[in-house]
Amino acid sequence: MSRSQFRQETLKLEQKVTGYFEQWREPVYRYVVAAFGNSAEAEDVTQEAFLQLYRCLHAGQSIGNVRAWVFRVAHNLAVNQIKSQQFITPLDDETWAEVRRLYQDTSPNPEQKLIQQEKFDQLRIAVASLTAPERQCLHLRTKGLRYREIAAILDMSTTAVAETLYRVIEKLAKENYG
Amino acid sequence: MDNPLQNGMNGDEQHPRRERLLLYVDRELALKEAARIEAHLGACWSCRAHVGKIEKSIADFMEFDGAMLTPRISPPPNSWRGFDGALRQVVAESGRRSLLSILFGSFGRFFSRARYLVMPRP
Repeated sequence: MSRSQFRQETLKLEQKVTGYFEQWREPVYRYVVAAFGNSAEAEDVTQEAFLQLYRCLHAGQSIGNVRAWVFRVAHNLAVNQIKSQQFITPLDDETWAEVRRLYQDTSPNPEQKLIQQEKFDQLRIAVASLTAPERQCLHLRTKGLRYREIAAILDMSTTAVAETLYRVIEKLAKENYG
Repeated sequence: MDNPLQNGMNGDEQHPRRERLLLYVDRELALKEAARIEAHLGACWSCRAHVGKIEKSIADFMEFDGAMLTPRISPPPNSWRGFDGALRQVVAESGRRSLLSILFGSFGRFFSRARYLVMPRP
């Protein structure tokens, strides 16, 4: 390969990774924050996942499902950050009180408003009761990932993902229907 | 534990297992089994009510997520400003490594052959 061909290939790959970054950085970032806690580290984790994508593609690695691959790398980086205790616990009492205060309820009457608030309070309890894998499966599913993709990201079997998501639904339903 | 991806109907009553109804809702079943459950739901109010509960749980969570969770996610503190610079650095490093590996790769191959000519064999 000539030097100019090499430069052209490098530029093409750089543009490709930048394109992926612009397309998927927000869902990856939101997943990391939702699943692991709100932290400035989430931005670094997300960016690092895309930098690793460049390194791997540059090294000639073939990646079939780039979206799932980036989620997986970001997930693993976040797990390592938790080990270093750089993330905070999601949805603690103080944060919840603040979120509740800021929520603009559009319910037409006070009774509906109360029902809505109770439902959200119950869902908050349900979400707080989720284990880490349950929370991760739930948030990946809400980002539109299919079971086999979630399985690859979390290093679980597809069957385990199905069981976990069903447990999540049961917990959410328990809070809703008593 | 039963495998919710492998087992279909629930014993004597021939209702689908409840966890399979989530797989049905999520379009994760093979066409044949999805069609079987679809036909069952046409006849069984109990299972249809359970599907409704699953759908309601999903809808309630998505509403909760949209109203309470997602808005509290602050935008990335540096607004992704560091990425372009970091990527350029990775590109430069990777490019340097590639050129070095081309250069030293050939040299290394030459050296590994040449040393057999000059080094005494054990």
